Formats: sequence, structure tokens, C-alpha cells
Amino acid sequence: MQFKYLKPEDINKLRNYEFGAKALVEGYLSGRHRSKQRGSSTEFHEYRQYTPGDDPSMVDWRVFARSDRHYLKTFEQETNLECTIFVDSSASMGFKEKSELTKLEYSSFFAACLSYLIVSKNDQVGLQIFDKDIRHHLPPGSTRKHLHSILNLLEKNQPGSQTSLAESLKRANPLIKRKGTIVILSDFFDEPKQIFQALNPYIHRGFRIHLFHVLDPGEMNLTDRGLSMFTDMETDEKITIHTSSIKQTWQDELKAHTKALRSLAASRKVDYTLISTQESYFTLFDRLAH
Amino acid sequence: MSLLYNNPALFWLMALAAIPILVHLFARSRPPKHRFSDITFLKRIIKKTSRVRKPQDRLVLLLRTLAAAALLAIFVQPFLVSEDPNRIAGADDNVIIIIDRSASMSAQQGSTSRFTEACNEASELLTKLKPDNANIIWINSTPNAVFPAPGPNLTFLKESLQTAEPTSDVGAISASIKLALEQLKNVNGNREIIIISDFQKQAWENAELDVPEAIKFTKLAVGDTDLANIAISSIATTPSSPVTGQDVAISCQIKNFSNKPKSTTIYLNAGGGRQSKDIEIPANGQTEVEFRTQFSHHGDVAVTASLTEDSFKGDDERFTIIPVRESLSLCSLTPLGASPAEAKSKVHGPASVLQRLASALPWLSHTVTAEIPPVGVHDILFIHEWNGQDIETLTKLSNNGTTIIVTPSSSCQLQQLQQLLNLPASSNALTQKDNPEGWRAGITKETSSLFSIFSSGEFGNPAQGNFRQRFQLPSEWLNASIISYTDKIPAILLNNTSKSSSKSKRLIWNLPFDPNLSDWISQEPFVTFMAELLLYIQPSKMNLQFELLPGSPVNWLVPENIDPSTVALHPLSGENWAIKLSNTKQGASLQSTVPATPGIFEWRTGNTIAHTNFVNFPTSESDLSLLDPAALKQGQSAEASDILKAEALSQGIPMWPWLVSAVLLLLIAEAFAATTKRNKPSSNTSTIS
Repeated sequence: MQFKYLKPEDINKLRNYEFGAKALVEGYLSGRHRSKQRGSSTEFHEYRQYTPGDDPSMVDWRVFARSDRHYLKTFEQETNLECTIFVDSSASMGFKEKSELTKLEYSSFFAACLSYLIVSKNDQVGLQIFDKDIRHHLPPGSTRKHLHSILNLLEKNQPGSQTSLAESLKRANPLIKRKGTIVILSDFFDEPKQIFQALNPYIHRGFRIHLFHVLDPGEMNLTDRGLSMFTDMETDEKITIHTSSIKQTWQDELKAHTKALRSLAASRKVDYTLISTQESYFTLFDRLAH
Repeated sequence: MSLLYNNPALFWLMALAAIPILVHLFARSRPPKHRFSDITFLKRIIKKTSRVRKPQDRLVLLLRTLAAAALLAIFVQPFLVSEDPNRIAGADDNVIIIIDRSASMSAQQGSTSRFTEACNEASELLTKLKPDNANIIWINSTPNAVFPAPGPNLTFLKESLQTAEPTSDVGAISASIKLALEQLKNVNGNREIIIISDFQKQAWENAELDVPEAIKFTKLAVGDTDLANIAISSIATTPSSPVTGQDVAISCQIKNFSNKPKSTTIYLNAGGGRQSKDIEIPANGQTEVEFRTQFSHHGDVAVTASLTEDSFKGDDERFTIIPVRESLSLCSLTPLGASPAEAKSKVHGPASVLQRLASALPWLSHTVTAEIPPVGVHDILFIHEWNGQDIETLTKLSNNGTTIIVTPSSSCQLQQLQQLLNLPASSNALTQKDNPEGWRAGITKETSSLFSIFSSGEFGNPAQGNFRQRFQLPSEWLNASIISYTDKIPAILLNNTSKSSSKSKRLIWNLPFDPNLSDWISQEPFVTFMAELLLYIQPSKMNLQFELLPGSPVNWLVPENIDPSTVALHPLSGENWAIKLSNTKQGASLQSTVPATPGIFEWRTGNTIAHTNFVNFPTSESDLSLLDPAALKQGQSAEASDILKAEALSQGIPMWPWLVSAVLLLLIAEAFAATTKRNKPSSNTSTIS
């Protein structure tokens, strides 16, 4: 089966991101859950022959008594990771200028890969597609079928109308039952304070939050087009402006905006990453590993 | 001033100056459209930058428009022209430059003199104005022009300027302007007079500059500051023509033309004797210094007073000639109309008294004559027993410097005496009276310098004695008397006694010399008084006959007894001057070929000095303070550069070099204005990460 946002070459690549996924899945969550529900949450996986270096306590002595061979009884560990991916699907996410991908496509690629990685580790991943409202909500699941549902939803997803991340987060709060990880992919053209006010309930509930600020290179460095009329992709509002006259101020404003986001994130122990759509979305896995 | 265009046909190009505005408007109306993720940010930014950007954008637009306009104006070739109503387009330019050459122009102003500066300015004007016809008129005492009429040979005029020197004259300003107007009267075309002077206050304060409006008249000042100066302003001698051995007082006046008191030394060189005095002169004031001397030899003695040299040297010396007499010539005239025998008997007494007096006084010579002597032969003419005739002849003699003394005869009328001395009219008849007991007489005017030696009483009463005969002169004439009888009858009357230096001295003598009629002549004070009186009434030889004005030629009317061809003119300092002979009604006249400068000039026949003249620096030129030429009503005052600018304007100044510069400057300014905000250094220029 072929999905738009999960290419076979990406799946191959993801094997190299084992460590990143492990950090996300095990390093943070699995340790906690293992200590909490030891023994009851294990499920038989398979028998395998003992090899030197294996833990002798894992040897199944009953099998040894019957067959006089050393077999280890392995169990499938249940980590209970629940990761919900928020994908901003507002109209502004459909912008691309210097990159091959729109911000939404870029976010979708990353969401697909991350979902695959999580499901492949038998953890649960959920998806929430929003603009000014929650357009789609898939509760966390860990089955292949669930993964396919996520990939299909991403594929069908199109840039919508205006964005309101804060509103979406407020509305999603009762939908996410268990605490886990939240990954938000957005261009964050919203007031930083409002965003973090909406995030506060999640933070208090003990969620680990990753904010991925996705921008097109043309937004990070405003292209000098001379006098131009700009149409807002979300509101269709028009404005005529001489780009060269505001280029520096744009740069300053954007920097101030990201700085505000970063400082608010740091103060709440929220992970914040600014990424250009020109960069590979695989670099985000590195960010997750840290 | 107005702006004219060489290519007015291309004036439509100026409409293209609107291109930047049109481009601006067009670009704003149809800008390329782009979709953008979120313009909330953009709106916020516009709000922030609009306060700076809008005026900046408008400035850039303005600069671009101006640059375009200036660029297009180059093609139209504008030129700036002045609107001179008196200027006739295409006509010849006739310029007369009047240069002040008076003495004050030799004052040093910095490293050059005012005159050199004036010549340099004139030369520059001639070079740059390039008039079709020009002339230079010098302001001397007698103005003169280089050409008889304005001519095209500017090179010659410039050469004249290079060789010209300032004079010691007083400039005849009005005459110079008249000469310039006379030369421009018959000239066609544009006419202009440029006057270059220091505008010395004393000379220009009341100058009449009457120039018709049709002639452009410009005043150009040289020398920008008042200069301090000390000058000897006059020399006076008392008496003006002493006899040998007589005490002479030479007084010099020194003026200080500055705001600070000055101290200096004045030197007097008189007949070989040299004296000096240190003096202090108050600020803007004057000091008088008196030297006393005597001359042992008769003749014309040259006197030079000099100061320690200052920056303006011309007036640091002053000259005079003192005619020292060998003796005073007293002539006794026998009664007019009397026979020789009668005359001899009648005047024997008084004349013999005067003869004896002359033998007692070495400087007095006495002669007796029966006819009225010609002018200039005798200094004093004593007419005994005057009958009242020949008043006109006597007046002429008196007016020519001979002192007249008359003793009236019984036939003389009171009116004749009154007429001779211009005395107040009296109705009384002239009567002679005798008094066996005699009358006494004494000094009427004790304040007169005549009686200065009698004031101590050492020499007694000058009219001491007993007088038994006299004429009953009106007591109303007492005011004119110097000696009078105790009963207020005038004894000796002198006209204008208050003006002792006057040329014309006339006396009425009412004191008898005859020993039978008085014992006065035997009295001790008689000789003293007579000596003092004769020196007092001696005619003044005004040194006007010696003094010449600077700028005029040194001239001398040669006496008949001297052969003019043997005469040479020798200035006291320097070599002989060239002279020329001309015959006038008065006789042969010699005069120098060049104008006189301050100094002493001797007319010599061989080694003998036949006559002496002196020329002094004009006093009015010593005050070096300046007048603002704008204060003079006529003409406009200007700098040389202003005149050249005005001339250039009248010819038309092409504006294209200015326009090219303007375009470049505007483009630079536009680039600066357009980029200064955008390229503002900032730490935020790095990529956001």
C-alpha cells in the first residue's frame, strides 16, 4: 500500500532514526510506565534459544526440564505511550515560496513518519487536524489499521480557513484522556501568550509538549519583490507594500515573535523548534532525540 | 534677473520630469499580486514604519523628480541674465575707470598700498569685463586721463596701471567725474563709470557726484580700515619775516588721527640749526610745539619740521620759508606837493630824528624822498605833514605790504584821516592846538604785544614826555589808538590793531618829534619804544609767495635782472628738475615739467639761490579714516567681484554646469535617502533560527 506522506524510502530512513524514536518512546515514557505496572502489563511474545550474555533469570526452566535445552521466554512490553500530533491545517499552512513543499505538506510528512515510528514501537499515536476549529480527531491507537487511518486522513487533508491554535487546544483538552506527548506542527501566526495560555492545562496535566514552528524560507527571509500587493491566504485581506522598505522590520518582528515563543516555551519546559520547510523533516527526529 | 533658454523648442521635454511621479502612481495602482501566509505581521510592521517611511518615500520621490527635471533642463540650455534697464543689448560697452590717486591712497593697507590695490582691481576689471572701449582717469589735483577719449587699447591701459604712482595731491573729485562725463558725452552704447578710491572721509564727505542716470555708476572701495596717523599740520613763524638777530618763534601743530594717545619726537631744522622735542599727543587731538631761534644772516631760510616716521610717511615732514630781512627800510616822505626847500625845512626835524634812530638801530635803514616810492621798495613809509592827498596811491602801497604812517598837516581834512584808517565818522574839524604847559600821553592798549616789554615798568612809559602841540583828533577814535593823551585824545592810531599780521598797516601819528614841541625824543624809553613799534608794524612778507600746492608745477616769475636760461630748479633732496620757460604778461615764467611733490625747491643761477619755493603735504589727506561709499547718494557701491558677477549676468551665465552638478547631487541624495533606512546596520540581519 502506498501513501502520499509515507514513502518507502522514508520508512528505510526511519530505521536510522531508531535512537531518536527510542528516546521519544523509551527514554521518556517507557521507564515510567514499566515501573508503575510491572508484570501485569506483559504479554508473551516468543521463545528463543539462549545465547551467551542473556540474562540467566530469563531462562524458562520448565522448557529446559522438558527438552534439556535453554530457551528464553520473551514478553512484549507495553509502554503505554500516547502521542497526539496536532497538525495546523489553516490556509496559511498552504503557503510555499522557496521550498518544494507547503508548510502543511511538510508537517504532514513529518506527522506520517512520526506516526509510523510510534506505531512500529507499539505505542499509541493520535492525530488532530485543526484550523480555527478541530476538523478531524483520531484518538490514540497503536495498530496498523490506525496508522493507515492517520495516513489517509493526512492525505485527504487540505489547507482550510483561519487558524486558531489556542482555540483548538482548548477544545482538544477533554478529548485527550490520558497524559502523554503532544506534538504540535504549526506556523504559529498567533499571539504567543494566547498559545501558551491554551497549553497551560496540558502542562499542568504533565504532558510532554513539542512545538514545531514550521516556516517557509520565504517567510523567514522576506523576498524583495518591490511594491507588491499581498493577499492574506486565510482572510483574503489585501495590502500593498514595498517589501524592500519593510524587509528588515519583518525580520526583526519575526525574530521577536520566535524569541517570545522560545522564552515562553523554556519557562514552561516545553520543547520548541523552529524549522524551515527547506530543511529535511528528518532533522526533527534529531530534535526529538535531544 | 531672468532665465532665458537657448533651446526653448525642447521645453516640452520638461514634461518628462513627471515620469517618476507617474511611475510611482502607476506602480501603486497595479502592483504585482502575491498570496501570503499571514499579513497580520505585515500590517503591524506597516503601522510601525509608516511614520518614518512615508516622509522618506516622499523625499525620495521628490529628489527623483527634481533630478529628472534638472536633467531635462540641461537640454533646454537655460542661462541666467540680469535685467539692467540702462543696458543696450549688442551695443558697445564703454567703461571709464576713475582711480583716486590722491595722497591718502599711498597709505599702506597690509602688504600693499591702497593705490596698488586700486590699480590691481582696475586691471582685473579691464581683463574680465573686456569693454569695447575704456579709459582711466586719475583723481589728481588736476584730473587727467590716459586717453583723450575711451579707446579699445586695453593693454596700454593695463600698462599705465602698472607704472602709475600715487601723488601727494588733494584729489579733485568733482572735476574728475566731470572729465569722465565729458568723455562719455559723445559715446554711443553702454556707458559706465567705475570709481575706485579709498573714500577718505575728509575728501569724500561733501563730494558732489552728479552722474546722469543713463550712465551706470559704481563705487568700488579699497582699504577697509581706518589707519592711525600722526601728521604735522602747520608751521607758523612769528614774526613771519624777521630781521637778522630778531627772536623768531616757530610753532608746529601736530595732529593725532587715532583713538590712542601717541608720543613721538619732532625735529626742527631751521637755517642749519637743529632742535628736537619729545611730545605727547592726545587721542584724536593735537599738540602745538614752539621752537625759538634767531637768524644771523638775511635771506630766505628753509625750515623743515619732521616727525619720527610712522606708517604714513608723506605727512611726517612740513616745510616753510622764512624771509629774513637784512634791515627794515624806513622812508621819510617830504610833504606832498611842497617845494624841495619847503620840504627840507619842514621835515628836517622829524626826519633827522628818524635818521638818528636808524643810526642807533643796526637793522633799520632810513632814507628821505620827495615822491611816493614804488611798491616793494620800502617797508615803512613815514609821510610827514600829510595834506590828505593821494589816498588811493597810499592805499595801494599799503595793500602791497608797505606800512604807511602819516602825520597830518594843518591842511589835512579829518575825513581824509578817517578814510585812510577806516575810522568812525566824526563831524569835528581837524584843528591843531598848542599848550605851553604841554600834554602827557600813555599806553591805551596795555594788552597789546607791542608793549610787552613795558609791562614790567622797567622801561618806563613809552610816551614819556611833555607834548606842547597836537591835533585835536576825535576822542571817538580812542579805540583805534595805541598811545593816547591823558585827556583821551588819540596820539598814535593804528588800523586793525587786533590783526597785527595783516598786510595792510596804516598809522596816524599825533606825537610831535620836534624838540621844540616835545621832550619825548630825549626821553630814555623813546628808542626802545620806536624799535618795538617799527618791528611791530613791519609789513609781513606772507610766505604765500614761496608756497606752492602739490600737483601744480613749481613755477617762478623770473625777475628782469635774471636771465631765465641760467636758472635751474633744484629740489633740496635730489637732482635738478626739468623746467620750461614761458613768456607771460608779467614776464618770463619758469615752471617744472612735472607736478610738485612735498619738499623745498631752489631756483638757482649758478651757485646762487635766486628764489625758493616749498610744497607741503595737503593737511586734509592726513586723516586716513574712511567713509562708507554707500553713504554717498549717487551710484551703487560694490566689490570688484560684484561688478564681474553683474557683468557675467548681463552677458548671461549658462546654467548647464550647475544643472549637471544638481543632477549628480540630487541622485546622490536620492540614493542616500533610499538606502539609508534599508541598510541600517542591525544585529538582526542574521537568519532566524
